[in-house]
Amino acid sequence: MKKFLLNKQVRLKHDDANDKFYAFCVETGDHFTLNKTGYFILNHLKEEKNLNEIVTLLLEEMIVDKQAVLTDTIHFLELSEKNGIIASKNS
Amino acid sequence: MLDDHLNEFNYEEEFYFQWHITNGCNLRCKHCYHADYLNDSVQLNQLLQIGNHLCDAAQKWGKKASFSITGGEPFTNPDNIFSLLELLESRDADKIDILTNGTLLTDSIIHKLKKYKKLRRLQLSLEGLKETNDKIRGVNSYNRTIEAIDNLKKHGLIVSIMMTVGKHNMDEVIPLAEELAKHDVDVFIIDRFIPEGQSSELTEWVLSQEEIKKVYSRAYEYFIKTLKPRFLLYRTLFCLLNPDDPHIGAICSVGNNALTIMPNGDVLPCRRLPIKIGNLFETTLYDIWYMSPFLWEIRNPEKLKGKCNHCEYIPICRGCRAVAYALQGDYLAGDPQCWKEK
Ligand code: SF4
Repeated sequence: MKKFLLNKQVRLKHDDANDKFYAFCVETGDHFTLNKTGYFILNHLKEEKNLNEIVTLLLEEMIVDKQAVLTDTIHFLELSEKNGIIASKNS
Repeated sequence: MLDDHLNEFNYEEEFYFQWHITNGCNLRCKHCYHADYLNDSVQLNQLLQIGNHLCDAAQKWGKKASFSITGGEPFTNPDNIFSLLELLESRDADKIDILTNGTLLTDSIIHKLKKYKKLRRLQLSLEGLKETNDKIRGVNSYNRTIEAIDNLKKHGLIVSIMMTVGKHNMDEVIPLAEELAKHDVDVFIIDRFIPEGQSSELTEWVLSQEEIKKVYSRAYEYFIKTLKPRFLLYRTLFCLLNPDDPHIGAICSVGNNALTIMPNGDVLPCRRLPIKIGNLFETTLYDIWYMSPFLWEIRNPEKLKGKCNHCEYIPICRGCRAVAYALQGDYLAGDPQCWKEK
């Protein structure tokens, strides 16, 4: 199953003053605003994880519908990979 | 009262870099914020690398890049400064000011400067009328600066004068402005004296709240009456004189839209706030701007202390963080020179 990992040049930031979440690429300067869940996922991707592991973590953390979490997570991971925030590899 | 074009600072659109390209200087002014003048070994290719990176960053953030190039004395190495001007013009910098003591500006240098379209103005410094100025900046430096002004004006360049104001020269602000008008100086900038670097012992020069109010009020009166020279009053505290006048006052730019780069690549939040927040030879500007804990802290108005905490003028002032740091040892402290509250 595919494993995902936060890119080395990407830093995560929770601005607690405004309760905002960001991903910053310190190499290209690209910056992305995240929601709390996106930040949660990326924070966990500082160590390699596959989709199932991410979904399990999300379900442990929040009371949500499993199917919805799965769909949203797949979409988020695709988007993050496309924008160079994370990379994936087949394991 | 004033045309809108005189309001030249736009926080939304602009990112300001104060870039010290050398520590080397041919003068030793008493109040200088430099702590040492060792001529540095920074190579032109390193400066060009930094310049490109700063332009990339401004572009990435969708901001117009505005530069003040300075030193030390930037004309101690004219080849470097002209190479940087070429670079910044080619990278479409929005505007470039050069901050110089003026003493090394030969005719051939001035002539060459004229071709740079993005060069907005040359900023020189005077600390009052001749006697006061020369005590601080050295014998005959007043006359030399006036000569440099006349020469720059003769060649059609725009000239601004910076005066650092303390107890020692507060009564000479308006007399100096009047003198500068006679020499066609375009812009006059006053800034508060902060004891740091070379001048860290000169604490007796620091203006009290009442004194700074007096100096700023006189400057504002002059500003309303005449445009020659044009006073630039985009500074913290000025909002207290007339919060409805958009041509005066400014929110402290630290953490918002400005950074200072030192010759060795060190990045400071402001030249007058000597706290290193990174180094461009070790990391990127993005890393510093996005991740510096100092910058995140100072961006948060809730963190301000004392009189600045919950002040109604926070959106247009925030006090001078460098003054708070130099005088209170805490960059988040209330601005000790603000006269709004004792
Ligand atoms: S209290 Fe602080 S923010 Fe308010 S006017 Fe004074 S310096 Fe500015």
